[in-house]
Amino acid sequence: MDIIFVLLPFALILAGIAAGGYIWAVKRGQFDDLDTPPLRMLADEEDSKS
Amino acid sequence: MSSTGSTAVQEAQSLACEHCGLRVPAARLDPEADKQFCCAGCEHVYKIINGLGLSQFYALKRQADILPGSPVSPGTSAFSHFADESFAERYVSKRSDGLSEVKFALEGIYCAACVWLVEKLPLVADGVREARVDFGRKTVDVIFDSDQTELPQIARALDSLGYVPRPFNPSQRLKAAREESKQALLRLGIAGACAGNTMMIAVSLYQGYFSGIEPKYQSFLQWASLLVTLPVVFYSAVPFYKRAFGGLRVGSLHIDLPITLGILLGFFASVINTVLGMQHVYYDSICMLVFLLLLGRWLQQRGLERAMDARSVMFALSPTAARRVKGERREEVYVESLEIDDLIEVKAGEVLPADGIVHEGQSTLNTSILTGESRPRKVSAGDEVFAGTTNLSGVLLIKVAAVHQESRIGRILSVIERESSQKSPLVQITDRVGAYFVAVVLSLSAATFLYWWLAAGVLTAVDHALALLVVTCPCALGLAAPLSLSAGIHRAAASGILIRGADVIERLAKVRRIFFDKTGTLTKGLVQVKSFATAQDGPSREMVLRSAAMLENSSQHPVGSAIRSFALEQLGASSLDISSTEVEEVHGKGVVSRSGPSSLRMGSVPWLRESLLKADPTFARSVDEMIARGESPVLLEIDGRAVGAFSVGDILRSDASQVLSNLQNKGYRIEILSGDISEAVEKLACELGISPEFAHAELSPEEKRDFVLDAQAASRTAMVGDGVNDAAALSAAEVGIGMSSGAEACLDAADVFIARNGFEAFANLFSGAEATMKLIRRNIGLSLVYNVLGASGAVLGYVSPLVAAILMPISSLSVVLSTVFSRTFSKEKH
Repeated sequence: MDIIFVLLPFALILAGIAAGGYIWAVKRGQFDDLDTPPLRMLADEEDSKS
Repeated sequence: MSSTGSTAVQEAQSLACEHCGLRVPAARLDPEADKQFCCAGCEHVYKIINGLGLSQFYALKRQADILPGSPVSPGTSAFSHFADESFAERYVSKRSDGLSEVKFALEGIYCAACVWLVEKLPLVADGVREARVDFGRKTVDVIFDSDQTELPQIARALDSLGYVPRPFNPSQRLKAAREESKQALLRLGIAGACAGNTMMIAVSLYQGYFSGIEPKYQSFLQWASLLVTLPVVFYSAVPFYKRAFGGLRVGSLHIDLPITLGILLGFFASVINTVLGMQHVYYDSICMLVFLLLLGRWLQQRGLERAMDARSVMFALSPTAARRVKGERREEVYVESLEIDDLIEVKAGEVLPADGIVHEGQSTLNTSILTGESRPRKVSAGDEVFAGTTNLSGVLLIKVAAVHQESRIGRILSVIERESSQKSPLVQITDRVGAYFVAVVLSLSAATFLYWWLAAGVLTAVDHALALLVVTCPCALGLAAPLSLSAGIHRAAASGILIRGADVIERLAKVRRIFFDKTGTLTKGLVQVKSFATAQDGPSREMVLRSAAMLENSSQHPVGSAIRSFALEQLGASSLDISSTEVEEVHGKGVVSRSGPSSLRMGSVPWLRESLLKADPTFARSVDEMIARGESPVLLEIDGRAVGAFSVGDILRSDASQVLSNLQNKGYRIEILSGDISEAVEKLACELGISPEFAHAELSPEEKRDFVLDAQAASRTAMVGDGVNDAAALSAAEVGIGMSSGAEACLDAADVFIARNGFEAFANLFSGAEATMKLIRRNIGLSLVYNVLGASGAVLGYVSPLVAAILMPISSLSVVLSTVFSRTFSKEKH
């Protein structure tokens, strides 16, 4: 079971990276407006028109 | 912008999309086609509907639509006032990369297509780098290069797309609130992540308690949980400590105090146990506790924030441009740079930007925004006029007397803001129960600790006292109210009732007296002909209609135009070619024409009483019946004899009568507050079964507010309205309720917004609020039962900290389940 001494810290580091990503996203304002992006994706990009 | 572009814009003014009724953007105008569409989607839908032979839809839709008029239509302004230096200083911010940024509030953002269109702004306007729409708040951020383009050009480009831009400057308070909500989101997210991880580690630890675990693994797992718990205790939970100690400083026991004690004691006891290699640690309970509590509070906070956003958009809606007259020159300036005694010009269809005195010109004004009076007011030189009212007919030259904040509408709006900020913050039942609860828990823990210290030594004492603190941790109690309230808000939203802020439900449940505005709230706000009668021995029906249409051909008065459109509709004509009729208006009575072959008069019953007496008895009786029904007939007289009667009135909302009598049966006191004349109001009260003493007429917005404030002293009140003239009263009432047909701007003063057309929602609103309060009491009861049982167990030493830690989430879970299976605001409820 000694593998846990490696796996647990590793798992926590992964969790830390995810939390870091979340902090970055909140600070960048990714959660400020949750209404517009779902509408924005409905519009086709200009260059994807065939 | 080329000159062809601007003529296209002028045309666009009058063209509405055949399918959805929105304005057709200049870019999509097709001069050849006789039907215009705002987008390809609408055009397709139109073809499909027409192709299926369902074109009747559009006829019905036109009748049902009551679109609030936009204060300014596109293409009417050159936006040169946007070039003012003071304007740029206030609204434009420089970015670090040298570009500039400006925020506009936009009207008419309804769907994905609008977002797409506005975000294509860089293609239309040179120098614009990016446009980002915020759909929820209806604003757009424009990033532009100030060397390549200027604000007026950007504004004109937005305008040509069909969206009138208004400068938007969020208040300091709003900015602070937004920053705060970002912080709250960070705290919540971090607590959640840590709680998840400690729970996983805790599973192994619990497993270890039951089946044995080697000390080195136990110690490692405990140290790992300690590490993960650190951010929760020292970052996420900080607001709890602040409130608890803040409460202590002013000498009150805040509900956050036992939470704080629980978190800190639990944490330090766990740290000590970890260091000493003992079994019991509570890291997972602490993290879960903090996470759930933060979640409940965040849900509440979000509702409040929405309300504040909407309110600040409202301030952006008053006109920002004025046309200043200097000698022969007219220049468009920014409203705030107007000075007292400046002369400004206001054309027909424009909103007055400032209070003042008419210097030159004659016109009629729509003052309903201030007075609620639906009839236009005539003004001529020397009359006082107010900002916010709309100029209907002629060109006016106005000498400015007060601008912006000093103007009458400015003062009304500032009253609204002041009163909305005065409203009590979230007063939760939990806070009230909380103080007692805290005192009881604290003394119980102290007693438990002392008893077991004397009876079984200090280690057992810590164990039991801790179990008590954990088991009584008001996690479920803290969740009970916010969870029930936010569930209520979501369910209400699904049935078309938008409730701003959780505390509104609590206030709604207490309301006993409800005030209704008349025009636009109880009625549809449209004057129409309700019934029509002709004298049997008189001229033909067609002749009567034709004469009526002729007399009212050029009428601006709402009653006149209602009769005109009714007559034309009956005749099946779209217009009459009468050019030579001279019609003279007799003020307050009606119209006269003597130029034709016969003399015609049309007007109120008192004015034409004599000719009615000469009319045939059957006809006279039907006129009497109209009056008895509470309608107001307008008579047509040809050569001294009354030959036709048009009964004119605002149309009552179809379900109003039934819903109001239901409410009355439930014991609510229903009253009407209106700015309209007393006859009209009394008639309506009569129709609705409200006694005349409860129908209050001819009230100014300020008087409405005072009336509500007076009533507020005696009992809890709700005010239902739809206009800016109701806004101050909406704010003053315990609960302000806005109707969907109202102008968007005024609804921001409302706590509750009925999004569905009609009255049905009212039945749900009050009973739903009461059901929600019942649910809260049930949830609080439930969590108290857990707490009391757990606490007694812990005091007696039957509950170990481990059992306590398991019991606590179960109590939260039962509160959640009880809320999920409740049926507040559901449709079946009556």
